[in-house]
Amino acid sequence: MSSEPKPVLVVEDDGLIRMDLMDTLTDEGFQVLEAANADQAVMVLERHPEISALLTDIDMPGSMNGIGLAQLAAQRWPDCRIIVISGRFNPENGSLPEGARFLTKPVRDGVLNTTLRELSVSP
Amino acid sequence: MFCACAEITAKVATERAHKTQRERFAQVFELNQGGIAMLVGPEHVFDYANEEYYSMIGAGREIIGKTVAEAVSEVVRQGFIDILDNVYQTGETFVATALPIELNRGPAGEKQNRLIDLVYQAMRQDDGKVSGILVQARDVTELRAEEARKELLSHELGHRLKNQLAMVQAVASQTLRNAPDLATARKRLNERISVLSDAHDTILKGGRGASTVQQLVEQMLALHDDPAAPRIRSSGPDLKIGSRSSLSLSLILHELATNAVKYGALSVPQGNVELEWRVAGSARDRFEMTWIEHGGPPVAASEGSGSGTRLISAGLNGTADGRVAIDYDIKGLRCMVSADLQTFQKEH
Repeated sequence: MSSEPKPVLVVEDDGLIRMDLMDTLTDEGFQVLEAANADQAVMVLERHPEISALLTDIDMPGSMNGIGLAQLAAQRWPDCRIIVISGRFNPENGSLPEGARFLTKPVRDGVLNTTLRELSVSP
Repeated sequence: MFCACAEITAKVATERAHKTQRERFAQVFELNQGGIAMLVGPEHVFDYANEEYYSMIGAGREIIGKTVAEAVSEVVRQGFIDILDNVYQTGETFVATALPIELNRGPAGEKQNRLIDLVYQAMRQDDGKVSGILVQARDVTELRAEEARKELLSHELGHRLKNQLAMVQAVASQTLRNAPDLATARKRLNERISVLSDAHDTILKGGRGASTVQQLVEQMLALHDDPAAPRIRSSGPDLKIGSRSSLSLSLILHELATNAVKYGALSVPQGNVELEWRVAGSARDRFEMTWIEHGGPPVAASEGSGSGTRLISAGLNGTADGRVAIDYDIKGLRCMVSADLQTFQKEH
């Protein structure tokens, strides 16, 4: 168990859905950071290398989509757990980095929480 | 009684009947919607082809009396002669669907890539020996393209539905989180989902990507303003809006108006609202909308804690660099919503 609380990062271009995900996680006791696209997310990750989990949508405007972000994060921040969430894509095998999880949108509260715990991410 | 004339007449009548039947059969081939051709002999010489077959391989080509290899030479290297040889030798039928083929069928004989459904069947003479091949072919290029387009569209609709459910889930959860009581929550949620539904109507009515900002503003005015004594002055250019942005813009407009009626400029008789939208930015690459309230009671920032304000601050869905600024100016609330224009108008 770590003594310092480690934040999780929510990356989602839809402000409403981002807000809702953040509320859910905050209710669970997580400290939550946010980004509206992959480029912003990289900046947040650079400022907060202690982020314990990245929860990202796939289909977002910007130079990179959520799959690209997941790949990059797995390389640069190997300790950060990754959950990819989308209504459109069902990523084919191999397109997500090893250990990353995929959830379909809309996400059930319980599923989000269970998945985080399975990845050993706790508030 | 022997009567030569009667016998001759009967023979002629039978012949006529046969002739009529042959002509009928010929017509059946001609009228067939698919391309039909008959090939004779081991070299596959064209004996007959109907209109549709000609139009499929390229109208005006001379083929009767020629072998397939001579008449439609471009199919040789595509392996079709080998298939015909095999059907001729084995008598086995060859069937293929959506087979890619290159045909010099353009107006000037230029090459085109098509997809055809194709059947080769051996035709046998009385002793059972194969004497030729019946070719039935149908150009399915356009049909397949249409099918692919429909499949893409249904995939796209499925995705859109998932996104909208996620949005409704978020709206419901925001509404319930911040509601003072269940009755208020029920009313608010009902209004919000109706607004999304109305916005969706403009998307459906106008067809793909044909909603405009004006349409969404009019829907909001119909709900919150009185046309006999209008208090919301709105103006802006005719601007197309993408379906994702249109759902969130309709919700933002609804929340601003609801807020104004409850606490803001529209809560007192003398108050009014100026609503304007425009294309902004030095590169004319941003959408900008401003909502400015006048003449209402003094504004307090504490009003900004409700679910309405949270829904407004969620911004425009599907846009890059979307921003929302709410200014609780003492003279009246001001809100500015802006986003990158290209993604604002994009169909996702």
